[in-house]
Amino acid sequence: MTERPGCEGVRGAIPELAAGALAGDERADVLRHLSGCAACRRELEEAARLVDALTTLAPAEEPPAAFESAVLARIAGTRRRFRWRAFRLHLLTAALVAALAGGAVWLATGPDRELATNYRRTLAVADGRYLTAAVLYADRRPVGHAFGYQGSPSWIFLTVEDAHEPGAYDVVLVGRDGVRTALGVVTVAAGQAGWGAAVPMPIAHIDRIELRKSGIPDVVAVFAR
Amino acid sequence: MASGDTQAATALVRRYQARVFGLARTIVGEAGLAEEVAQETFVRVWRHAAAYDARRGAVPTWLLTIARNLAIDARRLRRELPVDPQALLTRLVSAESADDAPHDEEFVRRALRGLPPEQARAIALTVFYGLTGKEVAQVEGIPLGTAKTRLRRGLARLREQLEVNDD
Repeated sequence: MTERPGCEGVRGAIPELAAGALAGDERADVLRHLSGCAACRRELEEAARLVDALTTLAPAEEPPAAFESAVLARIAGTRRRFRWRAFRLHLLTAALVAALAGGAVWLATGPDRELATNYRRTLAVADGRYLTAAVLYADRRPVGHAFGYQGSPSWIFLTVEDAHEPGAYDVVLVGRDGVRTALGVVTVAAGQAGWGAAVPMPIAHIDRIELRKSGIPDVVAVFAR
Repeated sequence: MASGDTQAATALVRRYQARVFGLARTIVGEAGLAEEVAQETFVRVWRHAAAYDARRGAVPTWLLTIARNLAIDARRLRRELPVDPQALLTRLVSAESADDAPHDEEFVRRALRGLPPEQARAIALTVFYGLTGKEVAQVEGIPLGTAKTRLRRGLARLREQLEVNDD
């Protein structure tokens, strides 16, 4: 296993990072190291798996009798808000469709072959195989885009255009095998951010990209497959 | 759940409420606070359901991770909650696996039970209370380096034992 400078110190902090206990500058330093060290990322993945396994050891205990109805009432309230958001999104979509209607005929008969040729040429420049994109969602609201490039190296680029919560988010790749890989930190200011990094797995193996502030995914993107 | 089906939400709550509440109770202790945490867990799961891919098949892991993070956040806000590493460890190693528990849960419990107690306590404090190495050192009255060593060696030993069980 290849050890980079700083690996020993970082590995001393990995149990705390895997458990979500590390904070502040130390967390940022460790994440910075991990973004460039595959061996330490593997160590973190193993530690995170153990933390997940240990979490199941808490004994099950029945909650008070009214628990289920209280949760469902809160969920129902949440759903009403989502419907309102979806309704506003539909209004926006309808307005966009109306504005673009004049160009629809052009789109339908557009120079598709030229577009495909340009796309192939673009990929060929850096020996890429494909470029894909997905919407970034926060609470089911679109807040930006994730782009994935399969090439050598493969990379992702995130653009955040309309996030409510400013601050530093950990960028976590979740593989289709469930393995989590911390990629780095993106800072959202005034609702916006742009951030990219090489990724240690094929784009097709990415299940989703999560941006986390508190350990829970706050912003998520899923590439179509 | 992702389709917004209320029946699915009901089924999810019924199936996992005891595990989520039990985990929250283990971490925060107080029943009232644990109930708040458990409720918030299911609401968060609902909010983020669109991002969950059922083909991954690990709903309990996802759910329990959210519950653990929320409960630890609640603990951090309520600094007066008692910290008793031995009581925490006893609760974890003496519990019996639930009927619907994952197959390997008993292996993990046995592996934790087999660790030197000081390593098991350090791991329990970090995983369930979210304590840093420095905080573990304060609780246990040991130097920071010793706390970090206990955490790292303890996890390494757990990993070895679980790998032996896999073979």
